[in-house]
Amino acid sequence: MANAERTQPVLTARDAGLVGCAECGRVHPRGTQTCSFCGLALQSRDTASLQKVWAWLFAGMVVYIPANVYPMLRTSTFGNTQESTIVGGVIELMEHGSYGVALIVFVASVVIPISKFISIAYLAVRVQRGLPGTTTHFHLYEVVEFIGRWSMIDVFVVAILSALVQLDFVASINPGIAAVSFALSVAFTMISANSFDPRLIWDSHEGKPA
Amino acid sequence: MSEPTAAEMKVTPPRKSFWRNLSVVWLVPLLALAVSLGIAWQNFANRGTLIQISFGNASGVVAGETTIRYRDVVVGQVESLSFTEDLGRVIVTARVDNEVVPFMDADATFWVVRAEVSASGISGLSTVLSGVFIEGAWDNVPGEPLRDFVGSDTPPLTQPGRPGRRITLTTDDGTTISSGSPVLYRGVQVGRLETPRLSTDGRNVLVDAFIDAPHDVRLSQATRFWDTSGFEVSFGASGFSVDFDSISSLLSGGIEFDNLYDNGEPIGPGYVFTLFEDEEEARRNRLVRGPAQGVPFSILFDESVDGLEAGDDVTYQGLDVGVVTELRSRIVETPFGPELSLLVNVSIDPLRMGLPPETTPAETVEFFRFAVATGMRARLATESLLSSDLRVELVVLDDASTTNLLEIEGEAPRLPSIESNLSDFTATAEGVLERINALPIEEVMEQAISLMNAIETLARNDDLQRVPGSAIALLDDTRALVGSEAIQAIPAQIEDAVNDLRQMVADVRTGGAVDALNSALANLDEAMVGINEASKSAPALARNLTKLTEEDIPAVLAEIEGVAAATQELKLDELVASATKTLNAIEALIVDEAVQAIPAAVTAAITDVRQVIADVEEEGAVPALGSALRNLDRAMADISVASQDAPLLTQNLRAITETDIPALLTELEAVAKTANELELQALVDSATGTLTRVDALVGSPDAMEMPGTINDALNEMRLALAELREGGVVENLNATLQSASDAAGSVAASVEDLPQLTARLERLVAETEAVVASYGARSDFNTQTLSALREVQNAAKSISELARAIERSPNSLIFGR
Repeated sequence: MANAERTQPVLTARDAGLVGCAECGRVHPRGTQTCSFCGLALQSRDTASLQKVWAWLFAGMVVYIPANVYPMLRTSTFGNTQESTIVGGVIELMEHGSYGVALIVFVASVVIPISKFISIAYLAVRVQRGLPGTTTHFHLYEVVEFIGRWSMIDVFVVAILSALVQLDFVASINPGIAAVSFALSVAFTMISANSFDPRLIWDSHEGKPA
Repeated sequence: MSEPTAAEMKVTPPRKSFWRNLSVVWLVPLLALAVSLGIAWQNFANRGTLIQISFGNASGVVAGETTIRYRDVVVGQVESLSFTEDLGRVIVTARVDNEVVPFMDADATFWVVRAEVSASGISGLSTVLSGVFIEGAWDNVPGEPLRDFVGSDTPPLTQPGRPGRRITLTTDDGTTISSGSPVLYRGVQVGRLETPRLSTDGRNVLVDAFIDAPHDVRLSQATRFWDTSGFEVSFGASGFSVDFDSISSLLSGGIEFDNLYDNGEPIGPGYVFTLFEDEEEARRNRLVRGPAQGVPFSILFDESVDGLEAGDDVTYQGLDVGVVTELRSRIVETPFGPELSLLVNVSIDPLRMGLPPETTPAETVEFFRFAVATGMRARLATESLLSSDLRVELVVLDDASTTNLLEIEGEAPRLPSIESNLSDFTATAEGVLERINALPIEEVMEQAISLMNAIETLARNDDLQRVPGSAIALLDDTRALVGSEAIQAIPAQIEDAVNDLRQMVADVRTGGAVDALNSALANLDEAMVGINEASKSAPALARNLTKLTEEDIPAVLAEIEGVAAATQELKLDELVASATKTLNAIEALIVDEAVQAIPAAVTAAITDVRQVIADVEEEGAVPALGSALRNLDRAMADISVASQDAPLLTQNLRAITETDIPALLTELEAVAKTANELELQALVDSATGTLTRVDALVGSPDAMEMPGTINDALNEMRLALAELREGGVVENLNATLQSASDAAGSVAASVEDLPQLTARLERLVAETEAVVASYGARSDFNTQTLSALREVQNAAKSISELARAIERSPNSLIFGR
């Protein structure tokens, strides 16, 4: 990729009359319907890619709302039940002085998902408008795709706590609706990012809208 | 570009319409949106309803934490706390579940549950850790939902919707009942008391109680409640006992109820039960509702009411009809100035006066108005003879002056009072005590002591102490004697003898001749024997006679000579003449034919008698007479024993001759003297007169007729004898003599048994002597006596049972059962 930036005009497979397999990377002459290596259907450009991206993105954003509105954890200590949302939990942690943990939770639960929404939407909009993509955009896409899975850290924490802290009356932690919503949101945005066909960025870069 | 252009026919055709290109992936966000919106809507819909509850204080209630619970299930949560405008109460704003909101109507109550330790137990312990919560209670019927509620500071004793029945009790004294006290039925808690309160007039204490279902069906007008608070200590013949129902009722009081009779009328709404002091009181008032239902009256007393207290009884003819409620003094205006009187307020139960249960107070007053007009009065009376406690007594006087029930507006109707007779009793009691005091008790005691000393001395006597043993021996011997065969045989023999005797007596009664003959012979024999004996004392008699003839008889003769001398001087000539004349008359009478006919009649009669005797001889009466005489002889031989008494007779005779005969002679002498002194002349004169009159009588024609009459009588007698001969008299005599012979034989036989009887009697006497001899030999007198007494007792018991049985069913006598 670094080379691609240096080589001025990039020869895409499409320009070369070839079509590459999205799965194994083997190129075939144009017109080949299925990959001879892995048997996957070959498609020079995924024309429905953007629709999928937008759809998943919307789904992710929709479920992200209850994930923040409803409580993530329901903590019962000696009969006192406390429900905390994501942001509420962060604030509480900060009040207790655990800034580090608060930062981690905040980044993982708030910054990253929202950044992903924005990044994916930005890329999708650019592709849709046919604006030429740069290498930076491509890096952005790769970062989004890579970091998406780490957003699940919150869900893991809730799952582990719920499983471990079940001491009945003394203390018990149960997941709230927000945990499910948040997990769904992360999953949806990951699918959204995966649905994005990065080749479209190249097309834009070539000034050939799909 | 110089590159060969590849065939581009496979290039993806340009985009078609937007909708045709639409991917199914879009369903995912739509679904997510729908789900999210659904959750949101559900959350909003389930958010609950805000309600406001006001409390006096909100101790322990925390906004956002304190929950609202119904039947210990969380149905809501406190959201905020605030004050009312005047800061008087705390308003708790809470959000409760929508599903319970329709039930939170006017009867819903809320209270704060805290840990509580009371006499009835510990409650709300879980709130120590979890913090307080607000408990709500409402019934199971949806009503008009409310948003604002007033919470109670204490838990309600009965939660709304709980099955059961709420009743009201009334009592005079609320000290022993407290909120939450148990209501027991046969010792099982079936309900609770609520907080006692005063009635509107302050006269009674009212307390509500809640009886849980299904026990509330036991409530009826027959139900009586009583207080079982505390404990009861009783000391009596059965010992010392402490009773209390339960620790809880001991500490906080409790009441118990029971139905005192069956089929009580069901209670209607507003029915008020009376709470009695104890079970005894409740059972005593099984037919009345108690003093709390009383109608107030007042009585004005002029005399001292010392000893009368509030709570004392008001009685009518000895029956409790009410209670004294208050005592106070009162100034009464009289024509002689103000005067202090004592006003007694009483409460009278119309039911106890016999008025129907539905009687209103006005009707009760009306009744008393009539009663007072007809002589009802109130007066003071003592509770008992020995106490100074007083009670108010309602009496009906026949001769009461006309008075009416005094009714003053705003006051209880006033019953007229009369003077009591308390002082009389006091004086009487005093007199009685004085008399008791005057009794000579000490002297009586001294006499009693001396009496007891004498008894003791007697009891210590040795002879007396030996008596029991002797008595035992006597009893033993007597028993042996009675058990002997000889004694057993006696009754039969006696019976035989008696039968014989009876036969003999019957025979003897039929034949008086035998009796006479017998007695004559017996007398003769006795006399002969007696003479025989008497002859032994004949010399002494002769001496006495000699003495008599030598000393006394000459004197008598001298006197007789005197008498004769006097007699010689009498006019005997006339007497002789008169006698001669009488004799002449008699001779004339005898010469009369009739008189001469008498001997012939007598001869005929004698002939008849001889004929009778001949007949008797012919009929064998003579042998019978002979046998009778033989038997008689045997009898006399036995009876001659009796003649052993003859010496005694002789001695008596001797005594008579020695003492009595001289006295007799002396008296004879005196008689002679007296005769000598008599006016014999007059006697002779009167004798002469008498003879003259006899002469006249004999010479009278009636006398001349007499011989004929005698002749007739003799003739009749002869006829009677003839009839006798012909009438079987001889046979009767013969039979009579035969019976006499049998009787004599029986007598002889019985006399033969006499020696045997005598021997037995001797043996009996001997045994009795032996008994007396063995008087002190035995020592088990008590046992024997006891057994004898026991038998006597059994016999008495049997008899008394028999008497009872007969008393119960006299028929048993007739029917033999």
